[in-house]
Amino acid sequence: MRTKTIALRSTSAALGLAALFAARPADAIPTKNCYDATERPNVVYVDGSSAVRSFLGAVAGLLAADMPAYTIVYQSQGSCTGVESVFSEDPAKRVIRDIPAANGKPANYAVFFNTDGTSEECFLDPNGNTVDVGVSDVYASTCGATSPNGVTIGDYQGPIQPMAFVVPALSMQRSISAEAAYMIFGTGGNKGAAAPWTDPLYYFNRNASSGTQQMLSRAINVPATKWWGTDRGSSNAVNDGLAILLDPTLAEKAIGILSTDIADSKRDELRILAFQAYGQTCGYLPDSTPFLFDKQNVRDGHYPIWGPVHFYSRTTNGSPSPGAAALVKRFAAPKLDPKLIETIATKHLVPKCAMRVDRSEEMGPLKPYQIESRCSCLYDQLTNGKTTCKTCTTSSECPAETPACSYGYCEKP
Amino acid sequence: MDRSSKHVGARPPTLRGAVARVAFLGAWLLSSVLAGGAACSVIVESETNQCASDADCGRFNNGSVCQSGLCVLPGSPPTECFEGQPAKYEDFLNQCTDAQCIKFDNCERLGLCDGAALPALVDPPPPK
Repeated sequence: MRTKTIALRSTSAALGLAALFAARPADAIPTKNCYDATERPNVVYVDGSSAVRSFLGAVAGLLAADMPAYTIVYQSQGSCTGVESVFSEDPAKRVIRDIPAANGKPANYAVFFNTDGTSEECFLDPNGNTVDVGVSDVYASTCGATSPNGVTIGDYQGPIQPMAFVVPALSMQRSISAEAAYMIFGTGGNKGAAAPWTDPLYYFNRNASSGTQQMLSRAINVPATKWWGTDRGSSNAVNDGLAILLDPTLAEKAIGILSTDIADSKRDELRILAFQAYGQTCGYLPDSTPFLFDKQNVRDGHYPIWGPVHFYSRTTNGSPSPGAAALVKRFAAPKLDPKLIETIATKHLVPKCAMRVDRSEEMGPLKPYQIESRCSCLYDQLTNGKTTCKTCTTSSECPAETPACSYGYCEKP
Repeated sequence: MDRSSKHVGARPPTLRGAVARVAFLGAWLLSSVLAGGAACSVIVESETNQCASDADCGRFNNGSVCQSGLCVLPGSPPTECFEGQPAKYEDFLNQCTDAQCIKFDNCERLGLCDGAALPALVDPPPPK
């Protein structure tokens, strides 16, 4: 193993550097129309967070099973762009358009999701398509947005999305403190004091429009506009850039930021670092161990970097457009559809009904969270493959300490 | 319990130093057991090439992670924690739990000892 590792070093170093600097070739122009009268007659146009792409793909299957069926057309542009596309007074900013490759930047075409969650690039109306839903990892206020006069906008909150500092799998690092992250991203490594993360060339960031960066900024007290490192353009690019660092020396220097739904799906390539917040005596992973997906530390407040996914939509008389409603209403139901809970768990997010803590502002204070239709036991079963909870069909079968029968298990409210 | 951070969070040794590290870990483990203290990092198996990645440690099914070719338990529940109903933000962060934690020693690793202040923010260079 040792010999192989050393032998690979020079090659992988070259690969790693190439990945850092190489420009992507110009993308081909899509050949399919996002709207199709036969294949996709009902479309909900979504833009915003790049982190939720995978989750939207999974939700697409649920929309396809609705009557009428809807297809999600999505353009990844960053959370705050998603907010702006709903909140802006300028109609021109409330549409998505084709973004071909230009000036060294890769193309960013919209995609539509198939029922199996796969996606295909497509071209939009030449005049643009009005956004039905702007999806954001952060509150609109974090992006500086407020509703224009006379406009009502619904904030439909979806699953809880943790954000994380990540390193390549070959890195030896296991944890990071808020103080260390401050030195890294707020000072460029503090003149070598924040070892091994002292070279900003290996900081895999986003930008101030990114919900991931905005949320983590609040966790470490570094403004999202003042980060050292390089904007990699999307969460997938952060993932790809880190994963290709196969040389242990380079891997040790590298650090990036991702939402856990992406990082958890790449655990063979990346490692989520335990995070030790300001005032916290020890660092915690989002999950109770590195091998589980239970998000226990998110759910009980030990891991504080999280917030709900926000689906923003303009409303009339309190209701979003039919297309927007097809997507957002399912998150506003008093009791979530078990299929939706399963989809959320599969994508390494957390349904609010599995949370024991809540907050009402970006990275704001924590408070206990109670709900009648709790799904903690179901979530444990889905993520860990087991639960210690008693199964039930009615609450009369449940003991006093867990009196509520919810989703087939005896729960504490 | 800062021993956990010294093992888990310390800068990685060179591959050449792996043997010395194993010896050190073994000596530390022995001293911990003799002292009757709770260990924050425990060697799961004494081979030096039992893993190349965390996934290789999955066979132990105990949450261990790969460090220098060894599967070790990365942390343990905190020894100092908040008991009772949390109210303040710090209460939630530090409440008692059976989840593993991995301490990051700001004093040892960053030189931030005894409440030392963080340095001022430095503006990053403009993007190229």
